[in-house]
Amino acid sequence: MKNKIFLLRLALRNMWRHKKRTLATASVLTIALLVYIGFEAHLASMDSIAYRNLVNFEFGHLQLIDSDYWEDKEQLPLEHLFSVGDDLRERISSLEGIEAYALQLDFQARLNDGIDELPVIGRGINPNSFHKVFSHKEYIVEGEFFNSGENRIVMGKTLADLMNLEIGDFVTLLLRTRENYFDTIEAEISGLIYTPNPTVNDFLVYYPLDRTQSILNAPEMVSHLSLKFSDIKHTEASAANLIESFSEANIKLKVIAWYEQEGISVMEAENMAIQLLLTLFLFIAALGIINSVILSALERMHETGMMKALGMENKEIIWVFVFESAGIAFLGSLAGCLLGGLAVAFLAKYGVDYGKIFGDMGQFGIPLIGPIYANWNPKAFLTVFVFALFVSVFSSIFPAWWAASKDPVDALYGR
Amino acid sequence: MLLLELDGIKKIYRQGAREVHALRGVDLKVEKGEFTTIFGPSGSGKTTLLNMVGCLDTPTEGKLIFEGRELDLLKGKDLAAIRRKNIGFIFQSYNLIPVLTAYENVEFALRLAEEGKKDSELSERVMEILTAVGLEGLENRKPDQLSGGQNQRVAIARALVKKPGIVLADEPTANLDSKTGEEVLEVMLSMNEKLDTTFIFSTHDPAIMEYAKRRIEIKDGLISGDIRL
Repeated sequence: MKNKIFLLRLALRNMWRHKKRTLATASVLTIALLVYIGFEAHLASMDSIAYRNLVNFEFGHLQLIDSDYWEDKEQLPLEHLFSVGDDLRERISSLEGIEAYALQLDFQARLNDGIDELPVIGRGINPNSFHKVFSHKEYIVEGEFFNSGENRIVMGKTLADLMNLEIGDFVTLLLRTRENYFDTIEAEISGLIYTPNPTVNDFLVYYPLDRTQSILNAPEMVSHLSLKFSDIKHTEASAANLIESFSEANIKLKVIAWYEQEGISVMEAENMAIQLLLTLFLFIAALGIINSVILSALERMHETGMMKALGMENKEIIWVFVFESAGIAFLGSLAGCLLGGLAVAFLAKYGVDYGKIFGDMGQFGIPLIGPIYANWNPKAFLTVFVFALFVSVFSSIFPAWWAASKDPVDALYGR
Repeated sequence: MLLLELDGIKKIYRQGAREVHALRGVDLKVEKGEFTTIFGPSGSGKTTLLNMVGCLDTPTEGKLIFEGRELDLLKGKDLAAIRRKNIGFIFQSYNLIPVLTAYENVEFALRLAEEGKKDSELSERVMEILTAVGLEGLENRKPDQLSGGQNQRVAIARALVKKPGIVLADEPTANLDSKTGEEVLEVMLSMNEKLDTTFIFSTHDPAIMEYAKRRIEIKDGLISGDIRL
């Protein structure tokens, strides 16, 4: 043990033989960790914003939808609607942690202001239950939400601006009824919303559910139901519960949890790809360590020969090199974690408003608006620190072994 | 008392397709406490012979007995164990570890040889040997803060601190001026006399040879002369 401590002391001194090289090698790791930690925290924040946007403005925690409608959901097929009877309401109400549910009826429409026409998604809602599930009401920037039965609409501010529409203006929604007849809704704009979700701002027009059902000739019918729980953790168990209960009762409704949404899985796949790239970056940083150990081994060949002449075993010589690279890795990783912490603290406080830099992020398919902050994740710090140490130590073993296994005479006389 | 016996030692190296006969059958006996020099022209086999005796290299043929053990039968780890405890080395270019002080360089060799000993005991031994080679007060200096002669004294202390059966020195004065070289030899000689440690050193320098009590001449891998004075 005492000898190991001596070897550790020797390795720590060796670290500072070539200060510039040690600092350069350590700083590559520092940069790798800084980038990793910063990106990870930023991505985590981006993810949580995206999840919140999805849950609070589009999806809820759980959706019930007709299985055939789901198959063809891009077309919003009105032939696959369903009605919400007492039996279904009871099943939903008995779910653990259920807070509210909102009936919705989506339809394809073209928004016409008398001059221009744009394709939009019309969404029939019952404001009372809708506001219990979704957060739109907090994001109304002009006017107000309509009440059931009123011939008024609420639409996204971005869409309104695009068509130069204001509160009080009348617009026409061109649509096809359930029987595929053309019909129109002529309604007054009662409110404009600007949410963190660009899909809502750009494409959605809200209209009272009762009037929507009437115009589409789909009385008591809905396209989907969004459920909200008191805690997001109830989602999975409730989904399983409903699937089982629907299967037993032969109810042909599909139960979809928010995390099963296509966008989420794409985002998770993207995150994995980014994590992989960042990990690769760490491996590249470890190459710096390998390079450093090889250079040290070559420079200290005579010294290694002398150590062997003194009777040191190969494993003891390997220890010296491994301790040395662990020291460099520790230094680089610690600095990386500290700088990463500062970066996360900065991002957590001030965030980055990509919209201000790149314009509307919705056009890049990123459903985020406003500054994106960073989430503190101590586990990420610890993981990346341990990972960097492990990779550095592991990658130094081979060059150290190569140096240590040199024949003592060859090493001493530089052959 | 017989310390070392070489019987028909041959060493053949391969250099590409060519075979180099570095030692062609060396027979030699060394008694404990001898102060011996090996001299001869470059390439005569002096260093190879020292490496063989120092367990750094193994003979191609022949028998090598050190302190009653047949070393030619041993391999890597066992040879390292013998070097660790029983053999001291002094190199032409000192080969001190530059990041360690004189004290630590000596302590390093002792720690390897006497694993598990108390720090206080080690410290006493290190200081004792550093004082004996005339380095008292310089123990905290690193090699770049010491002269060539002082560095070679550190190397001598490092070789002797573990009380080895034999100290092997390959051209120990080659990097020193003649005065310093003689001083280093005087230190080696006094250690030989004080501690009864066996020394074998190689040299080209006739002035240095003068210090040896036994002179072995080697030529073309064979001992061509052996004089005891």
